[in-house]
Amino acid sequence: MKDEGYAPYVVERYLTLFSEQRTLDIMKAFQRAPVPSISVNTCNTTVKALRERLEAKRFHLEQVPWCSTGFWLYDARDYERKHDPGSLAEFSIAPGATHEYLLGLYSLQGASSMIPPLLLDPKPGEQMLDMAAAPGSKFVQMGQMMQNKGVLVGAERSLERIPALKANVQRCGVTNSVIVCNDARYLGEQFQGFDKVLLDAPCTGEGLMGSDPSRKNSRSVGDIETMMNIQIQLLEKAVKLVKPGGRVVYSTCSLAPEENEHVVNEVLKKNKKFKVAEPPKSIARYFEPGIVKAFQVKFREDLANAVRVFPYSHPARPEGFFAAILEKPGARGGGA
Amino acid sequence: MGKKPSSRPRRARDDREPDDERFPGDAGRESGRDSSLESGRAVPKHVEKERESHWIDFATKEQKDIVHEEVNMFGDGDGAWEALVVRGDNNVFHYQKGNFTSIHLMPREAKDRFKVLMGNPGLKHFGLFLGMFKGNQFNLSLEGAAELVRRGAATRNWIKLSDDGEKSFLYGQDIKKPALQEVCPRGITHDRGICIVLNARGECLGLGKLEARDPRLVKVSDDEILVKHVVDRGVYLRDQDRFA
Repeated sequence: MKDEGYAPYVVERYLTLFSEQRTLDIMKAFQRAPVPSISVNTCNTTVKALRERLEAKRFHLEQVPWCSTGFWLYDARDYERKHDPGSLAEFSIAPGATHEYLLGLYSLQGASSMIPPLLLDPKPGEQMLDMAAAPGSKFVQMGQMMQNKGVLVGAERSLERIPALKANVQRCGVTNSVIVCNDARYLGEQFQGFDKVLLDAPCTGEGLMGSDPSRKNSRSVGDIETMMNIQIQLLEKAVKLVKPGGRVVYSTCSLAPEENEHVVNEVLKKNKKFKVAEPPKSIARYFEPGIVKAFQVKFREDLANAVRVFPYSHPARPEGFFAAILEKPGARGGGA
Repeated sequence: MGKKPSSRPRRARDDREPDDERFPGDAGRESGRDSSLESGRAVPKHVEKERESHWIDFATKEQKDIVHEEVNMFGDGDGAWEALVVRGDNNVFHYQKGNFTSIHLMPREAKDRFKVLMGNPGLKHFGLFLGMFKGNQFNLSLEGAAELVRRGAATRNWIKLSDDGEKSFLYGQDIKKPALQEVCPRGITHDRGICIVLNARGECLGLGKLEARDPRLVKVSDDEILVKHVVDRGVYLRDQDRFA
């Protein structure tokens, strides 16, 4: 395991949290990058039409089972040879440079990152907030689910990431959005009363070790603690911004319980009326439940309703991920 | 190329159009400071420096008239404006930043939320970016053209390219005869020669400007540039700085 390039503390943590077999399964899956995946923009095309166009360009598409508009992408020749490098660079036509991509018919989006908008379930006419919107794949996915009706507000702290977010929004024809360069920890009264809030929090990115092997040894335990504190601040803000009867989805691409279950547990200690809701079975059945005990620390029982994605969850090696639906009790006001 | 019409443009009579509506307190013009921001810096310092140099408000009647006329250059009668603003149920805003004035469409149902967000100094984008004013001239944007096409309202001043033509146009190339598949029946009659460039499937690739003498692009040679490239969808990859 040392030869795989993992920092020793990473392996020790996995062995403590999970069984030896699961640790080996995780590390084996992280040996290769996830298979690239796309999300069809059904505001601009249909799944069938896009599929035909991409198959004519020698792509092979495989359905992502938890997302009807999500597909894993293979180079057709590689697929026939059962060669799966999991790398965008191996494609004979770059998936991010096709005419269909430029026309906004689809976006490149990790299969795991399709989950939070599905759990949030934005509806046309609602008021949605994405607290960490850049570079925009989930933001665009939500805009598409809303069919450009209602309002979709995206906050992004980093000015350098705003151009990519705007480019994705405009390329895909999301016309009901507002983008602000704001630090979401300090959002004020302007941001009260949203129907639903997405917080895909900045994290150590441990779940991305397959696509970025440097993460096996570039992060320390101190980094986990730093991110955890930021995540708690962000989630504390998120639960204040959603209206009664509304929903917050908290997600990260980390496997660390300190960044996942612990953050939710801490914030809900001060916001006792919230509960962690059950996810739809159509999504939950592919993944594992949240952890209710880690490193001798017990968490609230309903955290078992959270969703954990491991890279061994599917042969296409989806990114490691965590997502939880937090529901705020109370009757929703009339109209979004 | 056609002359700019001197008569007032025909407009749909629509009681819903908020000609005289203004946000209370003219929020867009006030300092732009959101006094409700909590302590702790919601807006990064470098962004806050910009706050005094831009404001947002409903487009003036004069601006709307110019935009209305330009948009209708690409449709039949009042069809293009109807599709975008009336049936699209959008409000028309101008966004002034320094010497630049851009026009955006924002859904009316988002009015209440947008009203409070307009004063946020970190506001970077909203709604559909329809185009930009250059003096008294309004230039339709790539996104505005795409939205017209998406709504089926782009019935005039368009050309269609072959598959090979699509490839070269998306690389920023001008259009010559071999790339051309079809021209709209009346030819390019826009007073500045602007046309929407479509692919063989009728999807919006960008905007071009007529160079050839024949607006119907019939009496042309193989070598001459018929339509000059203005903007194409390749900018989403090539030139993300334009979105800064």
